[in-house]
Amino acid sequence: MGYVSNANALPYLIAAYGIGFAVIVGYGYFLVTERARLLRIRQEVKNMHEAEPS
Amino acid sequence: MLMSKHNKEFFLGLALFFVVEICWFFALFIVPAEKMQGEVYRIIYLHVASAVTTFLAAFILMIFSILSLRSQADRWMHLGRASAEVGLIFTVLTLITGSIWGRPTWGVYWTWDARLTTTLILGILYAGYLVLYSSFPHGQERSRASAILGILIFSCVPVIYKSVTWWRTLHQPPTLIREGGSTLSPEFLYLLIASIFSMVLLSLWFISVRAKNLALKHEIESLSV
Repeated sequence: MGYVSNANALPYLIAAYGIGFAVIVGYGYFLVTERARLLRIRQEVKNMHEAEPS
Repeated sequence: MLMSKHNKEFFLGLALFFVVEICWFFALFIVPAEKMQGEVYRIIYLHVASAVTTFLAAFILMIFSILSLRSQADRWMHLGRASAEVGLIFTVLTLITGSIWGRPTWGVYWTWDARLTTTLILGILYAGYLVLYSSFPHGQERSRASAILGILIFSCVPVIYKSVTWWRTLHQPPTLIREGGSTLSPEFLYLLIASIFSMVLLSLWFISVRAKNLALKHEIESLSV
């Protein structure tokens, strides 16, 4: 394996860990907001069923 | 006021996220540089953790696929679907971080060596599972077809793992689990194990939350009919 000078490592580290951070935070955010949205929709559907005349 | 189960779940995820970030902080700023690769080797703590998570997701997918073939219960399908999605995400992350690491160490972002190629195939299979799942309506056919593919996907994992010993590859041989013990110094090894462990726990949280979201979606569809 070749040697890489420390000065050149920074862009690679920023890229790798930056992408890792974005993926984890992005997916976590998607899951949390999806849950909130689905809970809201479920409540609306239940309210609609309760409001319907028998 | 008692915390709702959703809030508890959220704070668990947040806690696991911070554990991962603490490992990354140690990886970037605390552990010393490596003798041959210098600072760039620090990508190992993210790359290897992502790879292990990918393999684990395939194993979990296989288990839930077997369970769904046996019982047809929706929850196994939702857990399988969630595992495949998380598996795909971490496969892509493994390939990207590996590619970034490859450039300064091998001189190329990509090469068609056995380890990289088999990992790419795993990613394509995960994507194929998600497409297959979406192409069937909810029911026994979807359950059976997805489960069979889910079981087959795990068969890639031993091939990927052994690829560096079965074929001549650019990718380095195993450093953790190998005859004679790990080749890593203790200060690197303990942090690597901690990084893997924290990433695995976070991915299990992802799978759990995603599966519950899928179940919620299915419940809403049933209520709306």
